Amino acid sequence: MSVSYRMVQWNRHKRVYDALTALAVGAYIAAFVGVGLVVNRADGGVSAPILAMRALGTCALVLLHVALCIGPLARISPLVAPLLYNRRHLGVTTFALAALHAVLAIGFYGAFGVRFPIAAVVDPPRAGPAFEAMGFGALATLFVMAATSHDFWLKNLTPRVWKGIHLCVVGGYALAVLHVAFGALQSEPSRALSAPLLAGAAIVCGLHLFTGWREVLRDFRGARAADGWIDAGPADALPEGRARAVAVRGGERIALVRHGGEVCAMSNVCAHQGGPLGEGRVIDGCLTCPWHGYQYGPCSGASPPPFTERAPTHRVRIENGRVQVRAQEDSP
Amino acid sequence: MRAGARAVMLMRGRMSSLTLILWIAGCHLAAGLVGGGAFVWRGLDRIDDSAKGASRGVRLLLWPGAAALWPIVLLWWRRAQARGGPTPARPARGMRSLRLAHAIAWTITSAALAGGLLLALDRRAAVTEPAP
Amino acid sequence: MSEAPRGDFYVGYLALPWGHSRFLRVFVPLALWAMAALGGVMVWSMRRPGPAVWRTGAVQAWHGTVRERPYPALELDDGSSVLLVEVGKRGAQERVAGLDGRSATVRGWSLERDGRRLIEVSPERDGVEPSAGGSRSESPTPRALGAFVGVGEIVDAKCFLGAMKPGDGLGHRSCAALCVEGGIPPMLLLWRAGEPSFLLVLGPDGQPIGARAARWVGERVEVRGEAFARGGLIEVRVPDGGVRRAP
Repeated sequence: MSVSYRMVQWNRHKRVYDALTALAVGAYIAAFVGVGLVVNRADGGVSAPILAMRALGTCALVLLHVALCIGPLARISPLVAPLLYNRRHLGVTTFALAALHAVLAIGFYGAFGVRFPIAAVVDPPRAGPAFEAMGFGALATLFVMAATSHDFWLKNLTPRVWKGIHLCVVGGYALAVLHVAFGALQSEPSRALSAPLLAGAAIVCGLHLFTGWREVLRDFRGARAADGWIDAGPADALPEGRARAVAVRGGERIALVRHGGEVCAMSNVCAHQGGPLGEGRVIDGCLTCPWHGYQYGPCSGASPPPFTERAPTHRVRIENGRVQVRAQEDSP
Repeated sequence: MRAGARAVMLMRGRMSSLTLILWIAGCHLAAGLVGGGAFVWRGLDRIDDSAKGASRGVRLLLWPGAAALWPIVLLWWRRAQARGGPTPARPARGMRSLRLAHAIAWTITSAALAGGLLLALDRRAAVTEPAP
Repeated sequence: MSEAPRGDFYVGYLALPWGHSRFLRVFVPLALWAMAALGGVMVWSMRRPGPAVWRTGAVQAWHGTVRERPYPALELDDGSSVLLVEVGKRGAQERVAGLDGRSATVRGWSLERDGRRLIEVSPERDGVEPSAGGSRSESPTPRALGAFVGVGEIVDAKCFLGAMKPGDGLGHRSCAALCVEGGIPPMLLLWRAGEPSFLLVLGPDGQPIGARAARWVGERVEVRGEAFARGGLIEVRVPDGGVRRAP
């Protein structure tokens, strides 16, 4: 962002998104606590803090699964794009739920004893795997991601480092799943609990492996530059107002865009989060990123004022009805 | 340095590695609350034009991240002071290597997760007590 | 905004394209119902904590003979023993120090489950009040029951008998370990035909096993040792290496 930072850049979609997230979390927790109170009422029930701890912990895990599925699903179907738009808030909500789960565990399991409560819960004497520490590791990962989710961090860490930090969610996710598998699940014989965990892990990993390697393969199969120019396919294949990403062997992808009959090219990498500009469209005369709607002049690569983002441009020529793009970026 | 190493050795004698990690993380965050706090309330405006005159809410929102990444933000601050202004914005790059890192990370994690889940289910197989 | 040229392209700050709108109209209600259903199924599938009761409320009083060892207990007039613990995750060792064999009134709250009872002693000064001028009675000699092998779970007596529900299972491990480290008696929980039985876990010479048992709590373990009966409680004296993960 090149205008002043705000706490949250609200708009209607984000408000609706957040309201629905809150509703989904509310529905889950209300159902969990409600059914929990009913099924156990004969024996006086599960202790209230433990019921709340379980509701919050499982809800955080469900949200983490949802948040992690959105990315690869958006690569499979553009219909999922509205879910991707405000995924950050989903992640922060996940952290908040997980943190409350941890606070309850530390306050209830770790307090009133002869040890420091956090150490008592995270590092108890044990004969088996340290599932509590796995949960702590997952929480720490979610904390770093939530704490650095603001656009300030994105800009100043650079999208590449920021994305790299947020790739740590992969490890955090694994720790969260194993925290449950080596912890609570060990004393819960029901398949209705183990089956969703296994299915969730299979779906999340499967989606990421499929879409992840498909993208890498696209990069590896990218066009090779000849005399500094890359063949980008027939010129008439690109409709007006549309864009296309061209994979380049050994280099960053390039976005081709046709606007006003002219074919232009710029880096495929959006200056905001590195989104794929080649999958964008021309809206109001600007190439618009499919992730968060950042805009660039199709042939200048510059964002309309007051924004100052810029995507490096590439020279384009048409030879024998085929588009050719210069591999080298134009100097700014 | 040697005194620090000795202190760590002494502490290690009394506590497990996990507790030591907890203490280190706690100390890091405590230092970060101070260092990151100074950055958020004083240094922020110097390193990023968009942050000039940022509201109290924005600063509060950035504080936890600054507390976690305090060595980095203090470095930014120092560099900005040396340069006499904010770091100029650069175009984003490196998505190709990130895509590869993403695929590799998920491959390793999937394998580790599959192994871990199998192990956990194997341990759990022994759970036979009926619910009372 | 210019809807037509965008077609099915979503931009967060512009109106929702028709295709996305149709998708979300189906997806959002479905997702909300799925979340509620998932929450219900999760909690419904979890283990029931069992019929333990913690009678918090008015302070009750019991009269009997104090036993300091192996764990603080009150021997009631009917010959049964009730273990004594403090408020929080601490044993009552300091409170009964020097009172072994003395008759006393204990005030506090009871925790009960499946016929086993434990008293959380009131933190007030009169929580344990020795009777004036009472004589000391000798501790009953434990009766040897022979070699013991059992597979079960080591729990801390206080949580399992009602302080926490559930007070067993691996998820509760850190709390149980903290309780046992704090002096609350560890008990071996055996399930037979859905009924729990409780055995006090002791060191090889009948002394408190203390923190050594803490690392095994919550796990399914096989315990080998010698069994003894004393004052309505069964004790298992466990030699070093007598506890291992159940095969």
